[in-house]
Order: sequence, then structure tokens, then C-alpha cells
Amino acid sequence: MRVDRIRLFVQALCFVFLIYGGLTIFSIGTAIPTMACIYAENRGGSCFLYPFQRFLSMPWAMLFGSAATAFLIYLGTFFLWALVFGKTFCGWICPLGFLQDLITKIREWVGIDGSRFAWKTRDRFQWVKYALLALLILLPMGIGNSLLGLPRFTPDLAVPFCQICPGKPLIPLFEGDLSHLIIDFSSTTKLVLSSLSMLIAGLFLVGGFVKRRYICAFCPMAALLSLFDRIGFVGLKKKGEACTCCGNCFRACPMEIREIAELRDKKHMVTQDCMLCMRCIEVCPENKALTATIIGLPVFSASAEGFLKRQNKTASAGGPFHGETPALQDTATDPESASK
Amino acid sequence: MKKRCPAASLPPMQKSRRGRCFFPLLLALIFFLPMASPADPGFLFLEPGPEMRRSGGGNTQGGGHGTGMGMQRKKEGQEASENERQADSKKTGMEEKEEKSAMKSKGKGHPGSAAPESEKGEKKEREKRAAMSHPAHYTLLLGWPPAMKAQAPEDLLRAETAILRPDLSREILTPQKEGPAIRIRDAALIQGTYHISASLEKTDDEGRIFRLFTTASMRNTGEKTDPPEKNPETALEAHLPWFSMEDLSPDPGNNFARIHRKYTGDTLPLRIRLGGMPVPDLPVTLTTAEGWQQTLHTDEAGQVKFILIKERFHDKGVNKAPITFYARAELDSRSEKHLEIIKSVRPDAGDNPPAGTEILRTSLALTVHPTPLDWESRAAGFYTLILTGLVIGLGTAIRRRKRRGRWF
Repeated sequence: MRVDRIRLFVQALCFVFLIYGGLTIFSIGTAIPTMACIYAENRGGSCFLYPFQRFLSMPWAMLFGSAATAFLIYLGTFFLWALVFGKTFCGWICPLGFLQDLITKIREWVGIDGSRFAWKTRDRFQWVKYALLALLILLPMGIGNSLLGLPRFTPDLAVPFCQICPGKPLIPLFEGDLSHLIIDFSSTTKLVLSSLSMLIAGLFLVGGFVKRRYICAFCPMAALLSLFDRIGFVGLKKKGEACTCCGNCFRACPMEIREIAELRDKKHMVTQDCMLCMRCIEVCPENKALTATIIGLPVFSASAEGFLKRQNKTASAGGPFHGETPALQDTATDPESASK
Repeated sequence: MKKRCPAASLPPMQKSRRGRCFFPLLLALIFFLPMASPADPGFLFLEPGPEMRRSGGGNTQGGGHGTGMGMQRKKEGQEASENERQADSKKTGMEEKEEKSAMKSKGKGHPGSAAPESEKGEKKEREKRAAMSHPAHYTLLLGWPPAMKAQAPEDLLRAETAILRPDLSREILTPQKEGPAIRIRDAALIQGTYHISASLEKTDDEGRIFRLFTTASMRNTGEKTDPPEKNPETALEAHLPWFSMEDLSPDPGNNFARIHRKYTGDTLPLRIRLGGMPVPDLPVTLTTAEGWQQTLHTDEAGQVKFILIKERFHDKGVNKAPITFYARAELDSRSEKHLEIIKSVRPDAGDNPPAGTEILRTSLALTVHPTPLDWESRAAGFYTLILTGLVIGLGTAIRRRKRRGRWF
């Protein structure tokens, strides 16, 4: 069975649990490093960023006083989740990621061609998610405290990232809740933030028909999780000497990470955009060139045998191996030539 | 230097001026003296206390679901009040009671109610529970709405207050003086609706007996426990005061993640009962914090439905903060109709009602949030979303048409 199908199935299960789990099953808490929106009323678990921003908006005396224990518990829970699962959250669990993958499936089914970011554009916007992360830390801090002698920020800026996150208007829609699909006219700040939220939600929905998973390139949660790339339990390793630079991994990668094909010397391949979807391993024809590991132990490795088996199955089904790689050794799409 | 007028140039004192002031003064006395009279205590209310207000609002009908006593918001540099110091020491009314009778409640489904084995374990358990708990903190108010202050008379310390928890354990709470106010305090730990009731009896100089009753309820998202074995309706019947005013808003169900609030413009169904019997044709008055009020009469089932009045927000800018609405009803034994109602639920008393005039009053204080429809527009949101989609979609299609010669 193809990995992307297994992944889609797991994503669907996680989506149902995270959006409707609160109705019947227990909740797994509010410190999950994934975009499971807290505004979904029947949620089975929710995003870490909301309580994180709420904590940061407390006055220092309170944050490091009476709320310190609770804050540390929250941080500890997040670190534990991130350490154990790391970027797996992005590729296998995130509801917004699942929605983007669904839109991509619909696009492929309808027959609309996808686009890719030009590499220069991609590099140019790498800083955006880190800037968003810095803002979602600094803005709430300025509500409860005076930063650098500045006057305190308006409480309308509370949870600033959640106010513009596309998950806020879109995820509650699956519970029939339209109450976040609004423009708030109560203050200028609210007006700007709610308008931005609608714009980003529109961009999310329609942009998904153009590019794959492009919102993830701006996700501050990915920036947070990338802190655990090297130390996380789940890893992706590359054996440089086995790699033939065929470029299959790059062409199959939903996140369009060129380092996976370019770098032969690098051992740890979980980069800041990687979401550990394992597609690169699936399409790699070289024995043990790429390996997924859990605490250093290999769990899924690339193999010529497996590659050929999957290739034959796809060929007998009458389609290309995957939608966007009709030719496996194509110099025209080879990352090295493409980068030029 | 001021120029002084010679005495001769001053106009003579006019006697008729006194007469001009007399009538407005008399009118003011007629209208305001009964209200200001210390003899008439007014109505008894249970309003969410500062801890519940600080905790941010949410799943309560009378306040907010909180982050627990360990996370109270306090302004920088502000001295901890007696109340907060007490909260910081993780000492709640319920815990105190449990310390006294830990064995009594053992195994009743209240988390942490079982007596810990060691003192250290007990302390740890208490700290854990206090951190998990949500405040059930109510201020007792006495007077005529909406002009009521937390500066409460000492009489309120005599008020009988009780809480009925979701596990159907009932406890008598003791009102305590906290600064100028008189409050009751408990810690809500488990999931469910908590019902609080209070009653007070006062007699004035003329021998009139005032029996004042009030209720409040709050929902807590705390730890889930097994459903109680007893019948919750029966327990609630027993808990409600003799002359009760109940909020019959639909039960929000078992989803405690859902935020349940009352908004202006919503319907508020109330039921008035005396000794468990519905009171028909009784005027019930709903007063807003700004003093707007409406009076409706109960039907045969003792029920009345109000539409929560919208406050005037336009002259204050946008007000998103919750406001308190007060509902009140009165039975006066001087009225023959009311006397009959009182007699009907006191069959033992027969034709000998209590000596003197008896006035029964019941009330309910409700926290109501201004409806977001005052400042939010779903239509604008929807159109922005659609327009963004159209602009991006069309833009991409036109760009592709130019570059690749086809729309998609």
C-alpha cells in the first residue's frame, strides 16, 4: 500500500478525533503541537499556541508567580509531544494540513495543474514563519507588561496568531459553526485582524488549488517544531554513498524540499519544512539511501525491491507512479539542472 | 480684590423661595424615601464574586469558568487582599469541610475526596485539587436593583447559603466578610452544574417579616466523574428555596467544552414556585444594570418569558463586558390574592398565618453578555472570503492563460 494513502487515512482519523472527539471520547489536552483549533467546540484536543499566547499575555509577576506551575506543565507537555512525534504532527496529524491535502486531491481529480514555488521565492519567504513566531510571542507579552518602556498594547491583540490563523474560521465550519466567519467592527485592531483572517482563509482555500501545502511554509508551529528536528525521536536519515541523485525524492516531496536530493553529505534530513510524510523513502529506488528512524532504530527504508513492486502495481493500475513524476530520471526536472 | 456690594444694594430675602423648594423636596421624599428606608431590606441577590469575574467568563450562568484559584489575575504592584491571600493558601470552604470530615465523603465520587494516607500525600492532593479547581465565589447583595453596592449590611452574615454539587452532595456554606463585602466561597472541581441558594429573614420596626430568597447556578468544566446514583431532579427540588425563581433555559448538555453564555436579545424563561407549587399571575420584574426594566406576569404554570433587553451601547462605544440583569418577584400577605397563595402551601397553618405582615421575595442575578451581533458582521466576513477567493482564483487563471495558453 502506498504511504500517501496510509497517511491520508491516518490524517482523516486524526481530523475526526481532533474536531469531534470531545463529543464522545476523552480530550488529549490543549498543548498539542498541531493546528487543531481551540475554537472548535467539540474538539478532542487543541493547539498549543492558544494557551501559550494566553500565558504570555499575563503580567510577569503572575506568569512567574501563581501561574508558573501551570505554564511549566504546558511547556513540558508540548516539549514531550514535540520530542516524541516531532514533525510527524505536520504530515500525519495536523487538521489544516489534511485540509490542504484534500484540496490537492480535489485539484488533481478535477485536472487543474499544480504549481511550484520558484526556489528563489521559497528562500525569500523562509523568514516569514520565524517572524510570525516572534510576533506571537512579543505581542501578547506587550499586553500584560510594558515592553521597553512602551505603553501596553491593547487587549484586542490577545492571541494575535489565532486571530489570523485560517483554522479559526475554517475548522469550526465542520461543526456547522459559522460564528468565526466574521468581520469585527468593534475596534481598528479587531477590524484589521478579522479582515486579515478572512483574507488568509480565502487564500488558504483557493491557493490550495494552485500550490501544494503552501500555507505550511508560513506556519509558526513548523518553526517551533523545527527546534526538535535534531533531537526528536522520529528522524529521517540519508546514506550519501547510496544516493544516485536521481531526484525522485525531490519531485515527490509535497513540501518541495530540494535539500533532500541536493545534499549527499548530510545525514539528518529533517529540514525546517519537512513534515515526515515518508514520500521520499517510498519513491527512492536505492537500497537504504533514505531511512525513517525512531530513536535511531530504522523502521522504514528505501529499497529497490519495494520501489519496483510499487512501480509495477502503479503501472498495472494504468497510471503514472504518482501524479507529478511521469519520468523517474528526467534531467529537465532534476534539481541540479532546475536550480540553474 | 473682590468688589463688595453695599448692604443696601442686596435684594431682600424672599420668603416664597422656601415654598418653591418645598414641593420638589416633598416629591423626592415620597418617591425615594421608601427605597432609602433602612426598614425595607429590598431583595437578596447572589452575584459572581471578583474571582469568578477575573477568571474571564465562560461556562457559567452567573459568572465565568475560571483558571482556578492558583491563577487569579492581579494588577501589578497591588497588595494581595485578605481574600486572595486565603485563595493563595489553597484553602477553600470545601477543603476545610473535607478536612473536618474526610471520611464522611470518602468514595462518593468527588475527586480527591478519599482521605489520603499520609499528611504529605494529603497536602500534595490538596494542592493539586486547588490548582484544578474553579472558583465558586459569590457576593451576597441586599437592596433594590440596580443601585446595589458591595458594602453590605452585617445582617447578611446570618444568611443561610448552600451549594448543591453535580455529584448531588449538598453543603451549607457560611457567608464571610471579605473587605466591605459579604461573600460565600467554594471550589468547583467536577464537571456539571452547581446550584447555590441563599435565604434571609428580616423583621422591620413595624413588625413586617421579610423572607428573602435567591439562587444562582454555574457550570464547571472540571474533572469528569461518574454520574450520581441519586435522582438529580429530586435533589434539586430539595435544594431550591421555599419561594424560588428558576432559570429554565435549555440544558446545555454534557459537552463542557462548549461555552454557554446568555446574550442580550436571548429569551429568558423563568419559573416561580412557592413550596414547589407554581405561582400564577405574579408580576416579575427584570431590571438591567442601567435601570431599564420590564414587568411581566406569570402564567398558570408559574412561568414567564423575558427577552433580555439590549443595553444602550452606542453612547459608550462598544461594550463587550458582561452586565448583570436582576429578576425579582414578591408575594405580600397584605394582598388577599397573595395571602391565599401563601395559605395554600401552608396547610398546617390554616387560618392562622404568622403574626404581622409577611413579605416573600425571590430574585435572580444573571450575567448577560452583549450580543456580538452588535459589532460583528457575518455578511462582511463571508463576502471578504468569497472575494479573496475569486480574486486569487481569477488572477492565477489569467496568469496561466498568458503563460501557458490555457486557463487551468
